[in-house]
Amino acid sequence: MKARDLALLALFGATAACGAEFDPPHELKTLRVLAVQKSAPYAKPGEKVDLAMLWHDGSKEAPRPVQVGWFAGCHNPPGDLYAGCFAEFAGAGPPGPGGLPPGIQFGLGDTFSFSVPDDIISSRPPPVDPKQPGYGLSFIFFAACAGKLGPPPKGEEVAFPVACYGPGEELLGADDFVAGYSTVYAFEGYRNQNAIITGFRVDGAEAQSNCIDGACVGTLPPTTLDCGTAPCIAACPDDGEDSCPEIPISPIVDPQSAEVDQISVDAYGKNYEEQMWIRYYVNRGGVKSDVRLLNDAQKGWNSDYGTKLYAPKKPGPMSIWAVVHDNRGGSAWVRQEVLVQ
Amino acid sequence: MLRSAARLPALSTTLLAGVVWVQAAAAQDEGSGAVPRGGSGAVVKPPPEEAAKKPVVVPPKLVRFENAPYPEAAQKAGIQGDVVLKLSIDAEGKVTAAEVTQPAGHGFDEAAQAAALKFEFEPATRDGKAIPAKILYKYSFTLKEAPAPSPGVAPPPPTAPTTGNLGGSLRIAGTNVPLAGAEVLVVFPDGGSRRITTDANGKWAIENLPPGKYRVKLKADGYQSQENDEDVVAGEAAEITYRLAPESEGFEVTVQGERPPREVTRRTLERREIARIPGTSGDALRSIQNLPGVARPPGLAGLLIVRGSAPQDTNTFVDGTLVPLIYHFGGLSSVIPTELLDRIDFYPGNFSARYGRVMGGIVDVGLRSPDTRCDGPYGKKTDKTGCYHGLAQVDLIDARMLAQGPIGPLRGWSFAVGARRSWVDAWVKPVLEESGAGVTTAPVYWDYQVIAENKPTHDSKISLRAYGADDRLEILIRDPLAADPILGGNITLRTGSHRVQALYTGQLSRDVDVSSMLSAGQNLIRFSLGNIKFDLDTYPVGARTEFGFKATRGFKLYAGYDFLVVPYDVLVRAPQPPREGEPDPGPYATRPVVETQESETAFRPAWYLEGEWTPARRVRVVPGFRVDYARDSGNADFSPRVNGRYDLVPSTDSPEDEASGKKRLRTTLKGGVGLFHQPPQPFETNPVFGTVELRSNRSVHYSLGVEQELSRHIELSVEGFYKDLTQLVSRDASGNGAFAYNNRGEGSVVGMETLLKYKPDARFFGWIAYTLSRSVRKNSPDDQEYLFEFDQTHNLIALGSYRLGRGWEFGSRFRLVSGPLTTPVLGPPALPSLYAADSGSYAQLQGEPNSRRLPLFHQLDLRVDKAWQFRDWRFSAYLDVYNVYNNQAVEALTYNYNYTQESYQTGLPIIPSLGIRGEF
Repeated sequence: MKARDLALLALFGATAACGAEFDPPHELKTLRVLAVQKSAPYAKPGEKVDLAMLWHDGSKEAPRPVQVGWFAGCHNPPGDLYAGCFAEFAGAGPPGPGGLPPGIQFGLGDTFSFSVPDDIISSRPPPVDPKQPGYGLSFIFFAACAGKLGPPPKGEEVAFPVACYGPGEELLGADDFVAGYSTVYAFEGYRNQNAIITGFRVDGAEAQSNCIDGACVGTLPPTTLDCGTAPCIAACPDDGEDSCPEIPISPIVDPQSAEVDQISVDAYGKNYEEQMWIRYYVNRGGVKSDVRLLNDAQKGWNSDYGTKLYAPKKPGPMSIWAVVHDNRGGSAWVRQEVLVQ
Repeated sequence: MLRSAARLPALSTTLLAGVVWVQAAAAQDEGSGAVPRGGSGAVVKPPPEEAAKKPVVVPPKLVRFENAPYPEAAQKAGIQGDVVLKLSIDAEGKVTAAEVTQPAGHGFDEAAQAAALKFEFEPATRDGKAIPAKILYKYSFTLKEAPAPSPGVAPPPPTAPTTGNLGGSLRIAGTNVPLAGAEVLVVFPDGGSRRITTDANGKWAIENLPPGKYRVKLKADGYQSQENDEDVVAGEAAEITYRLAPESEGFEVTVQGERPPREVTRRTLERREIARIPGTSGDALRSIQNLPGVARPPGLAGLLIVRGSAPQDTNTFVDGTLVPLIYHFGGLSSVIPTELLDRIDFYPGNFSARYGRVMGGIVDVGLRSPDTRCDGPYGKKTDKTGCYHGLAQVDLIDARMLAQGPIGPLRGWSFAVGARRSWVDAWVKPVLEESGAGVTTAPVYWDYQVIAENKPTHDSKISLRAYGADDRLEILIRDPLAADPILGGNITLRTGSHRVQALYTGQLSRDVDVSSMLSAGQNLIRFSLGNIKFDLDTYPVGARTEFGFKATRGFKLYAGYDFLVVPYDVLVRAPQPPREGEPDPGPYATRPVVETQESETAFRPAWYLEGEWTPARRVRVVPGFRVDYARDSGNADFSPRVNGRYDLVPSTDSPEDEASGKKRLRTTLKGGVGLFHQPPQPFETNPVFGTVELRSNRSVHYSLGVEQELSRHIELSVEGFYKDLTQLVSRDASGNGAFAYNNRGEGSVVGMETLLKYKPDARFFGWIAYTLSRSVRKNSPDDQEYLFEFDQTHNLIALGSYRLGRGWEFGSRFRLVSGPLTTPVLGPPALPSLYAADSGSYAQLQGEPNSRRLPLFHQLDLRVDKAWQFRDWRFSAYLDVYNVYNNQAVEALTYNYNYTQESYQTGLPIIPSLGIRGEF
């Protein structure tokens, strides 16, 4: 039982948590979407927002074609719940015989752009609490498919109105098809920046052979590396298990990335900051922590936000991803290449 | 008084033995079903000092003797005989019945019976008041040669008796169960003594004792000893019924079923039972979860799920004061230690009009009076008071102490002071820090209780209390939960509750009694998790008073008020909370927070009237009416209720049955119907989080059942119940990102509870409880019905505890319960989840709410106690093993990161809990 579980045990009165150990989320063994970055997590009405997706196909069949589709046009659903959008997307798919439902915008590729409606704030009732600023909310849905996107099979009860088909028109499942959503809030006078990542450290030293944010989009990890340009680590016979030597790794994140939540300050006089965390992923080996706290809304910056890498067994190149999230829709990432010897 | 008639042939009569049934004691007997009664609030198990007080009983005295004619045939045949009669004597001294219990035949029986019906007595008295009684009377028909009288000379008068008889019947207090094999030591006026043992019927007798005052000492294993002074009068046979209370081992608590006579069902747990139920570590409030109608909560959670209702639908009180947080950290242990509890009244439904504002159940905990009894050597109970007691106990979680006794300079006042503190923080902190968490405050709790009490008269009591509890922790989690990073960062939790309380109960006149309570205090909750915050401070003032008027014979009226004034300050910064039956909203980490801050005063007065009508001895009907007002929601709720009990077959102890010689086992029919209202939760009417204008939730309770005594010790109770739920608070998503709350929710609960109980005796207590139920809800009349999240179709509990002797006691509990419900994720070809890119985790795509039931739960718990009684103090230890055969009970489903794989999440493994205690 992890320390976190003990804390939750103490906090929530003990139901205990003993269950099977699944493959940890940091191991990329299937098609995975790692992050979606928005040029403006808080946008203004009428502003054009650019989105970029970071994905990786860890399947044994890789490399294979992966189709990425985007659906925009769901604004201010009831209760601000994503599920309220599904009715609008019913029958949606790549432009086909049925076309797209009115107001729905579709795009293919690792990047996508849409414009926030001018009336996204004015068209909805104001917040009940007059201290809260008026806002609007847009949901952008996406799907990454190791095949071709299409409408769901007729007669099947599904929630998400898009499906993914393989070369033989077979329906592909969650290992080869990832669907999801991202949100863009619209405010007249508030902004939210993505975190600023400037590099990566391996075993205490700043490393080369990495890409940050857009530089990683649409690129695959290299298949050859050398110790002159990339950090080198020794292979571990235990293949990424926690019995392997611990190699400290961490992105280099500018502490200025932790912004003050200005809405809390203006509306309630509360000096809260953004809550921020880092997710780690590897395509080989393992890491000690899937998620690390970067900034607490009340306690502030946690300088101990790195984790430990456990080297794989097989020599060769491997990749590490670190994705920084904030609780207001911002994200940033870095991909670091490492040579295992 | 003995009278003998001398005639030729001579005969003599002897008053053999009189059995005196004391009617007032029968009224306190909770085992008899016809007219169950109890003190205010409960069926009261008298504290030991009351059990020691005995009434002064004077047997009936014969003032007019009637000679029985000697049967002619027997006289001619020279036959003699003794006839033993059971005489029923009313409160005026008239013989109403004469039953032959030991016939002699030959016409003696009829002659003796006819003569005895013409006897006249001075009636028996109890504390100076004339009472009906029954006595045994031996009419001896003997033939002797009498000298022929001289003409004109009257025959000599019969010889005056010079000895009397002394005997009795020994029973268990509160019942009519005889105590066989008990020791009776009769100390004579001259210092001599004689020791005898009660027979299988609990009876004993010594004949031909010289007149005088005798001390009768009664002793039985497992029961409190008793000593009484009795008078032996020449020519009379005194037979008195004594009742011994079970011996308390330390402090005991009684959990009651619904409180007679104002509720439908009654389930009584003896004090000893609470402290010994395995798997509860002696926690009194946790023992309630073993009663029928109470669902098993997940893990160790301190939730009371009563007859298919939500936990927030059940309120817990301490002597009438509402206590919102009754468990430390949601379930570790109760905030009031068992040792300070006098009783727990539990009402699973159809409760009295004195309670309201909820539509589930009621738990009313009563604090005990300070113990000032004096113990003799080796813990033997005495009648003396004015002594001090102390206790110290340590187990795996906390340490506690308790001191009580008289307040020296204040005559008549007594005190109790208790305190408890957890020590789990001593070992949890290093464990958490070792695994990377920052610990500012390790989880710690403490509580305290102070009681001062006085009894100005024998029927009044003043009690002043102060009690409180505090839980706190602060931890920095540097590894947030991957499934939802909101569970990470700085976690702060602090809850506190403090009260001062004053109570008064008394008899204003012969027909009017009053109980009154006033309390004030503070509750606080501080919770923060990342950017989520919840700060609540309330300063509740409660006042409750009830008058009981004995309007006529057979009718008592109760009138009362129940006021609650709660000034509060609240700050909430959180996402909209989810509700059952709605789609999963996705990870909390990036959901927008809504904030509100306000200071207000909630005012909730209530008034009620209730009647207790007993048109006949076997019938009791309790109609009631309650009016509640909630200023915060603007609702006034009117709640009429009625319940009744009818003894189809009254108990053995009714005078009619005794007179006719029948032995009956009680059969009682019971039922009730009532309307119950529950105001919306505070956040539901908050202008930011909810909707201001909401009506109260509404429920109609129906119940019908039967109680059947199967033997003196075993009782079977079966009760069916149905609850119709309407006007339930529900909500629809609205266009401004919030939710519009309404009262369109509906639901129902139907079920049956069965309890087969062995009433505690010196060795054993136990029961088997089975509940079959179904609880459903709908978010609106047009929506589909779904099973309520805490629905448990089957709930079977079998438990018992047996005293092995020499201080050893062994107990076990087995539970077999339907598995918990869960809402499954969609299966292929549908995706089970969506990637929530803002948080980097996944949101479930769910199927029908609560549509999947996990495997059956079963578990065995064992407990062993050992006590060592020394001359001046007592040491005890217990081992309570939870989940003896380490069953991997499934509590929930756990999923991998994208919900494509699932696994069972099992509950607590085998956990031994060890405790030691010293007390004097």
